[in-house]
Amino acid sequence: MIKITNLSFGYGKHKLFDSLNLSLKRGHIYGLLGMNGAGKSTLLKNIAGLAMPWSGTCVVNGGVAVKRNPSFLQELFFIPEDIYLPPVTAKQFAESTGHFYPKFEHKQFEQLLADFDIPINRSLTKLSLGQQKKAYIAFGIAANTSLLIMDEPTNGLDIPSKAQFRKLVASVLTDDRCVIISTHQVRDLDNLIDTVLVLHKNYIILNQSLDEISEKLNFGVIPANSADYIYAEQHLSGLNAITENTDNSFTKVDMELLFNAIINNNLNLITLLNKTGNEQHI
Amino acid sequence: MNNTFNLTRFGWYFKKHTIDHGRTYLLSLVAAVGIVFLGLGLPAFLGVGVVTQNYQYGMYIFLIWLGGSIFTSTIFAELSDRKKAILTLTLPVSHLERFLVAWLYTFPIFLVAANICFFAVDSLVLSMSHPVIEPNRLLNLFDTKTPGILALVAFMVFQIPCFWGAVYFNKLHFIKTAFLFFMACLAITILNKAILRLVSGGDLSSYNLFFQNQVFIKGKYYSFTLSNSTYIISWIIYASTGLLLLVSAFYKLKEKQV
Repeated sequence: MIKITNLSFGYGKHKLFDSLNLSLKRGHIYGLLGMNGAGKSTLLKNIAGLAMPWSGTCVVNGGVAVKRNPSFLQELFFIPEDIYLPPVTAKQFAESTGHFYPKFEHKQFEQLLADFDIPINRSLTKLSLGQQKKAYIAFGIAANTSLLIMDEPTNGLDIPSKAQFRKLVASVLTDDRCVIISTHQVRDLDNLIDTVLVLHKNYIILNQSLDEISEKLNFGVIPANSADYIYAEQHLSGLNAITENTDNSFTKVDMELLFNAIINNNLNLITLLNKTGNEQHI
Repeated sequence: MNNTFNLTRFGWYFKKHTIDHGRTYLLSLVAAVGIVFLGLGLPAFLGVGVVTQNYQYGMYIFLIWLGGSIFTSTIFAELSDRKKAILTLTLPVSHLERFLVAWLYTFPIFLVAANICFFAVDSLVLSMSHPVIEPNRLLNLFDTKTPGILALVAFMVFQIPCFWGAVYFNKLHFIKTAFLFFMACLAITILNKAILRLVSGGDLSSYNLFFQNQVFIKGKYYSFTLSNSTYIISWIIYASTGLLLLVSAFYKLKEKQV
């Protein structure tokens, strides 16, 4: 669905991506992780055609992103970190904007607004920032585009809304849809994403499903005196550690720990994760 | 799906643009009407009540020229605001449709609205005034002393660069465009004088934009003027420059980034 080939991009003289390659498929919810300034938002903007690459291409649904053709845009909805909504009510917004998206569902939009407790007939500019964000997310979900991009969607949401957000996004994923969520609040993506993308030092250094990761790694607390780990952090009752999964057991991926390990340049971990299944057996 | 132009989609976008910006445009129009009312009201109510057609014409040009230019300069302002630009640029409309809606608002719609408002206010002020000498007459744009076509040309000469500046600059659109416009005029005038001096070998008594000038050679004044055919060519050059600016604005719009 998304094919990025040799993408180079930056601002001024500062290069953010250097020959970046990435391939994303339908039917997945991708979590894009990276440190502040790593270029997560910029990568999403390149995918949405909002930034012009220095070189390389970004193709989405067979269309070149940077051309921003209507046929490409009607299958994409982008929810930025800082949102703007015009001074109209949610109902008016849906009426004036919904028909640009062929699969937009008015009833679904109204239901989502009700779920988020957003008044449909109040001017969007008079809502709180969190409410505006929820209205924006509701519109993005109801647009039913094949690609939904969310940049830090949980920023500004209260705790119950974050849980509701996770539930809603998980419920709208279909085989035809691809969702990309960028965040630095790794915990917000718990029980939501199925594939982790890590952007670090100009490159995508991890693009793997949680299942693949848990096949290769175990996550858990080990004794403080243990040395048999790939990466570990201090924990109240020992070490919170990542170890190699040698016995095909299953543990839930601790994304925060995994992310910390990767950005600390843990080469053993990165090498192990990027090994193919065959290589592991050898 | 036609990715260049689709009438239904264009209609939707026009409607959306109107819903999203209509209130702001209406407020701006009311403010402009207020200024025109004040401008016309001053001589009508405070002096002897005479509002000459020339004075009305001045106010008319003020509204069309300055109001139109400022309005045009803001037409793509949301593309300079990162938050607003994302919603605008990811809306499934073509570049041509986006460009045409902006042009429609800044050119025909603005002219119609400005004319209706001006003549409504002008008629109102004149009907309320009580001139001492003779009754005030409403501005006639078909009169050769106050030609509407001249006001239209004056509007277009600056409006097109403003349209270009609205896309090209990221902030202070009007100020930057005006600065660039007048700097370009100054540069052309100096260049014109230098070329005419080179061609004639005499001293030039004044500065003029393009081709025409008074030249002083060996104690006598000569006047450089354009023949009829060259005059037409000069207008073709102006029109081509305007067209080039519009095409340039279109391509800049296509390349707009966030």
